[in-house]
Amino acid sequence: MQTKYFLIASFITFTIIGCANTISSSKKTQPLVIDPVCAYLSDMGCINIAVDENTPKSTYEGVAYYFCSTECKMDFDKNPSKYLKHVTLPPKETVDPICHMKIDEMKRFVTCLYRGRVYYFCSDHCRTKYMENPDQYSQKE
Amino acid sequence: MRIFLRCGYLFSLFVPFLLLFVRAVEANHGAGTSGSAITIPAITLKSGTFSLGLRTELTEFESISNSKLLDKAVEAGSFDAVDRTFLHTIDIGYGVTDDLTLGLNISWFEAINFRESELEDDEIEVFRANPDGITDLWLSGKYRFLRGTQGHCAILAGIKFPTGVDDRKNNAGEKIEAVEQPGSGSYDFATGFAYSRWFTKDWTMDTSIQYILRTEGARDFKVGDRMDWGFSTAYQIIPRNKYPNVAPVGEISIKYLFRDEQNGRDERDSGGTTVFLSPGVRVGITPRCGVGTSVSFPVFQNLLGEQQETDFKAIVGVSYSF
Repeated sequence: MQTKYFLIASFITFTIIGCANTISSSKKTQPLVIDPVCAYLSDMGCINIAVDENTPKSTYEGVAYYFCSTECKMDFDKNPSKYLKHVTLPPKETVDPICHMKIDEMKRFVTCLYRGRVYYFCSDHCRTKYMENPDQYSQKE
Repeated sequence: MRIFLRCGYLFSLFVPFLLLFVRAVEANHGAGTSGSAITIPAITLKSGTFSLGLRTELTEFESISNSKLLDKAVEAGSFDAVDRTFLHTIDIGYGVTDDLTLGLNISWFEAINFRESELEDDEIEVFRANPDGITDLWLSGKYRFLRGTQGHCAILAGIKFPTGVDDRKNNAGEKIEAVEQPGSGSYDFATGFAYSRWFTKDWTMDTSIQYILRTEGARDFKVGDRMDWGFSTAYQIIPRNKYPNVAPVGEISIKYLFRDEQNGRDERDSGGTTVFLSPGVRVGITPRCGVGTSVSFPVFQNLLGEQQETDFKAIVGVSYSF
């Protein structure tokens, strides 16, 4: 009898936790940026991060980078070029959805992940604008 | 039977946990990634990073009363029993590159209520001993040769130096058996393979297989080779980049021991296979400090000859990176 109650209690507990997890997942439709340190280390747990006012940030050669933790930011600040060597280049004819500049002709660019798709921007300014209202610009495309 | 009932309870807890927490895994910043008892993750330390780990492992053995000890000695000719053992380990790791980690670890062994019994001329003699002492030193290396979205793969290697004490004596002044000494007096070699991956952002898995090749040590005794396979999975309830964070860990592991050898002949009462199921928890306290604990229950034990079975193991550890 005790085993039966234990199993039922376990099932209810884990169902609640599972549902809570599903609810929190459904909120994850905001744009995400890539942490270059976690990307370099293939640390898939923290590679895509949501940005808010508390997100650690560094600027290197005029481009802003965001990090999952201050640890990653400190590592990046020590040797930024190490972590930027392996950045995936955008496909040809890629255009910034905000200013419509051609990205593949630029030396530096930033990215953002939204609804499973990677978007490229000429600057953090355009990215920030896009992230404030991603649906507006995604629909225009 | 009691063990199986107890494990039935644990398993009923563990299975729904696995089914419903199919979401994500963790990162490799901070100290340690595994938190499991046996499984070695393929994740390496960042270059220039040191790690310091302290862990205590309690092994509780099946209860052997003095009268049962005598019975076992009659059956096997000799039999050794212990109530429980403690192994306090310190390990230091260093990230030589982002993909190569070297480590050193050494332990202090403690045995509680160790007894030896021996049948000689139809008389059984029982001796007591205190085989506490420093164990052998392991130098180990882990090289991650692949990292990407499909996971991380690493090869493992290690060499053990005979730094441990191997001259502990019983109350009659005789050296206790070589296999019961904290140090083996032999150089041993380890090799293995580890694989880790993120199933989702918060759900990770690690698996590893390791083979330890033993050589002959003190008093012409060779401890049997050993093979370990482990599979562990963890779920970050609180994301790994928030502190403190928590991840329950579940592990299944198989320990296969080959027979010991004395003067080139197999020892009858040695070797065997044990399967452990180990629920545990890992807590990231700060980005540099983590603690972990797990309890291992033997769900299957096939020990060759007359040997004392394990009731359970408990491990608690803390690690710090700098």
